[in-house]
Amino acid sequence: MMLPKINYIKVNTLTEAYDAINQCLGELSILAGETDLLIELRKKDLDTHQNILDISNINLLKEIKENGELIKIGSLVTHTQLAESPILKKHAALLAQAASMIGSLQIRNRGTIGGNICNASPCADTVPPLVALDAEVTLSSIDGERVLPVADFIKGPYKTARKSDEILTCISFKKLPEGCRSHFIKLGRRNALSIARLQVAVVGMLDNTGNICYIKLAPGSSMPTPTRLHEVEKMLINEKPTSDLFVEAGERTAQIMIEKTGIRWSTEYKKPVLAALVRRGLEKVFKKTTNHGDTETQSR
Amino acid sequence: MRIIGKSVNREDAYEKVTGKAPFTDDLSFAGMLYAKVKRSSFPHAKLLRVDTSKAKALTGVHDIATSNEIPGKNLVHVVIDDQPLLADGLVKYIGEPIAVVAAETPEIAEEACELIDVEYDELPAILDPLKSRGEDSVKIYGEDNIFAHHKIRKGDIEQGFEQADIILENTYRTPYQEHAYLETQGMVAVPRFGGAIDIHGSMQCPFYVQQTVSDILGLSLNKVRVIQMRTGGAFGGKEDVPSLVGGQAALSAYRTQRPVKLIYTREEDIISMSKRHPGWIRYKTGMTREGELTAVEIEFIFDSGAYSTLSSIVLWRGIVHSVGPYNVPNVKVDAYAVATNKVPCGAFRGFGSPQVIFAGETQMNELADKLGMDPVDLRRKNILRVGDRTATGQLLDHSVGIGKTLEAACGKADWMRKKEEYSKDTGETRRGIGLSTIFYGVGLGAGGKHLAKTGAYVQVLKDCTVQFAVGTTEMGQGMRTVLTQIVAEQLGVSYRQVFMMETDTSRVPDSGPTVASRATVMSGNALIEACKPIKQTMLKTAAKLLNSRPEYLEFSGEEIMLQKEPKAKVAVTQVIEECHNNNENMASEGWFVAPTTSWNAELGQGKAYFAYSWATNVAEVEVDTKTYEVKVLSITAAHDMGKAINPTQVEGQIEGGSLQGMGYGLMEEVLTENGRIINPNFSTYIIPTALDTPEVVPLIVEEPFEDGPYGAKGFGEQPLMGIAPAVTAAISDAIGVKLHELPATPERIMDALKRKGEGK
Repeated sequence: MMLPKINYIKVNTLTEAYDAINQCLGELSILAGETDLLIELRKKDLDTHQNILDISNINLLKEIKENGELIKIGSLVTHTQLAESPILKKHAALLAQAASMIGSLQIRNRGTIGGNICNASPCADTVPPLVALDAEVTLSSIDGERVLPVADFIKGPYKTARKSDEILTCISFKKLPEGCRSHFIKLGRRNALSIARLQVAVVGMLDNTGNICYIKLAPGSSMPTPTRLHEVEKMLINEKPTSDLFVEAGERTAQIMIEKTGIRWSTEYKKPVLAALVRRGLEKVFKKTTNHGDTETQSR
Repeated sequence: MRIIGKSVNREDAYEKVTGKAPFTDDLSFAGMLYAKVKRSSFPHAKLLRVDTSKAKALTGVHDIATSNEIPGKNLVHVVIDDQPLLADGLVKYIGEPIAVVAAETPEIAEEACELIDVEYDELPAILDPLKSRGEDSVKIYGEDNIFAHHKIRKGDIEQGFEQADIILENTYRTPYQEHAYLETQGMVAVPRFGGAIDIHGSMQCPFYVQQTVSDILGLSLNKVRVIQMRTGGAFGGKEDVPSLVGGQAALSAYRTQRPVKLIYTREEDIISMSKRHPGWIRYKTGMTREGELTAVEIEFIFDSGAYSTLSSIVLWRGIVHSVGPYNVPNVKVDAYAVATNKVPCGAFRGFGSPQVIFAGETQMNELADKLGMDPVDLRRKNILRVGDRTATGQLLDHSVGIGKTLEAACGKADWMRKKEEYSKDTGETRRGIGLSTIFYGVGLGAGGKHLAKTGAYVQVLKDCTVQFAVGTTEMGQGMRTVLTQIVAEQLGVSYRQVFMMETDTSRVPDSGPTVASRATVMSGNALIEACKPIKQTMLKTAAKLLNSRPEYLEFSGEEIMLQKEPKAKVAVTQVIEECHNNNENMASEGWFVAPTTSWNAELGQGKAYFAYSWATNVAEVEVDTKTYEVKVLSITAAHDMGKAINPTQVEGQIEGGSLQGMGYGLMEEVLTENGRIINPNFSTYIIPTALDTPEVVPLIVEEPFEDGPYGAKGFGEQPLMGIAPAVTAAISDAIGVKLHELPATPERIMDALKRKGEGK
């Protein structure tokens, strides 16, 4: 494979990384798991990728930690780590589930959560779960840190709020409340090495009276920017979990997709299918029979 | 038999699994340069100017060759001589080669390509094959853009339809298919003393490459030697097009007098190398109320791309297979290979048959539906049996296993029970079961008679090992293993004592191409011929050792014994040693010419192929009625290949072919925009993965072919050919839709459901 000539810098600590950023002239791209950047490099866009800062050796960013009610995930945590994490399986199962569906084993072993967010592909598999978890990202630079919700950090397809001197270091969110269940659905064109065509992330819980008391819903690959659907959540909150309601929620979600993206060649297919997936996601989370913390993986 | 019919390990498994097998890109020679091809950016344009001056000035560039620099003929000969190696004043598709650069590194070669300044005068392009035929059209080829027209005329078609109680007519469309071999195209050309040249590369047909290199360089054939490297998949995609790659590498090597390596990138490979022909098929079938076929009338068009390549014979195999493995008294077929300003199509596993099989089998399944008859029963009524004649009038005198495959597959899949059970599904997912029955003409047939020959060379060495060579190639299909088994069985030695040398044009005479599932029959028979004189010598020598006469002796396992007195015997190894001590000639050549075929082109009648293989596929699917996704649950495939020389390899072919056929049926799609392929890599050209693989149940049926080695017929292509219609039939069974276009993507299934809802 032929790659353009680049200035490649590898660092072992964040301090070294900040120094490298400060000393660097011109555009700088950050390399974490290499699964997106390497493909970008083959396009030979020299201006954008003059300098490559390889942060993959910064071990501090490779841990998933519990911190009271919070879960903190280092930005270099791989998809394999996410998929296998007992902490996530217990407190945010849909994120582990989504990570397990990314690419192939090799890609999951290399690709990182930070890279998945910063690449900001509209079909990034970790993003809808993170949005449904109200996750926040920490951006660090020599001047300090700032914290942004994932939904605000991603500005559009392949666009983020990251400034050129910042490194995304941490992703954090609150553990899901006790009794809350979650589910992630990915629709692709095959079962492995699949790029999502539609995704649905659902988190929810019923109260003692059987009404929905907690609901967060984030579709993926269907909106210009990742977002929770507050309007649909409002339709659902404090209601009984009925089939009709779920059908209605699905249809409303599909309408919102069209309002936000307009009619495209794919709309005729995606509209009914997104509605069905949202309905299925809700059914999965609110169905009565299964155990607490259901993490059953739906493969397609 | 000791070795035939046994699943010995693949001869090349270990070195491939451990990554030790050297492929073309692993080759290196001192002073080697790297080549890169400059390609057309327009589907149809005059080349006003090709300015290489800037590129030549780049440091590290050694040579740039355009059509003007070709010393011999600017020609890639396949069937009709219309394709140049490098465009000469005119380009006819995006990706057509214009110039070849040779430089010190691949990076410099690539940069130099970008510096070549090409001035185009764009011409109107024809991209739709249905608009290609005719005189008002933009001219791509000849007067009417038709590369070939083949036909069948049998019986009286009008009378046939008059006798029919029901007539079903449909139009079908089938897509491109990309071979998706793991190893992209590649060649290394090395100049030799005496003005000769060696070509090492990934290919199916070394003798084709030899011809092209000879034509391009103006060298006689005896100066061009072609050596096949380990070949990482081919599926037909390395039949004719490696001649282009080899010709390009050879041109650079010849001009620079240095070794030159040319390896295509995946994108380059997908945009410029051959594909399966997209098909447009109008199919009309007449049948009695009792389910007997009375008439079949077909018109079909293959979108052949910019040059004729193999299209004429792809089309010919298409017509022979278009009516299916059925008794049909009245047949009329007209088929056209038409030119378009797109990448030239060529050979792909099945070679023109999967397109017409999809149409023909869907017709049969829909007719069964219309008659309220089980599709299995409809097959039972119409399939060919010994004594019947095919649509081309060929009398089938033996080795017709289709009935057995039908019963084996449907029995194993438990057809009746599943059909009943699946019809009761009521949820959001519905299951269904579907069927296809197919046949396959083995070898080149009457369409390629002049190439229907093979050579072999066998030598028994003094350490009792054996080496042999053939003119056909191993491309992953397992030929090395099967032929090694045949030689070991013949000579009374163990499988491990036999080694197949790399295929090399200097070892055996021109043996034709490795295509058409012909290698087992053709090279197997040539090897048996080559073994004969050696075996005679061994019997003669054994007779001396046993104080007997050769005619009283026979081979038995790894010994030679007296027929009437099995205790009087001598080990083959001892005999071999004695032969060498006596200065006997322990090497021999073998030659085999295919059994006769015949063809009347006006009527499309004759003995099209010397033998046929047969198969029945049963597919079971689950359809999601809300997302329109299809999950193939299982494929039960019964194949008659005469004799399974290595049953595990046969099963492997059935598994791989089933998956490739499933991809063709459900997901594979080459997307184009104004003649440009917009998905030239494997993240966007979707093929099935291991996680999409259904349970495949392979079943072996053996109806021996009397002219085949140990009764074997050809088989390699067949597992792919009938999968798509079996899968779409299963989808139809599940949700009651009619699918006439491949691939059956979720979108197409949704559309079909809508049409059904609207009562269309």
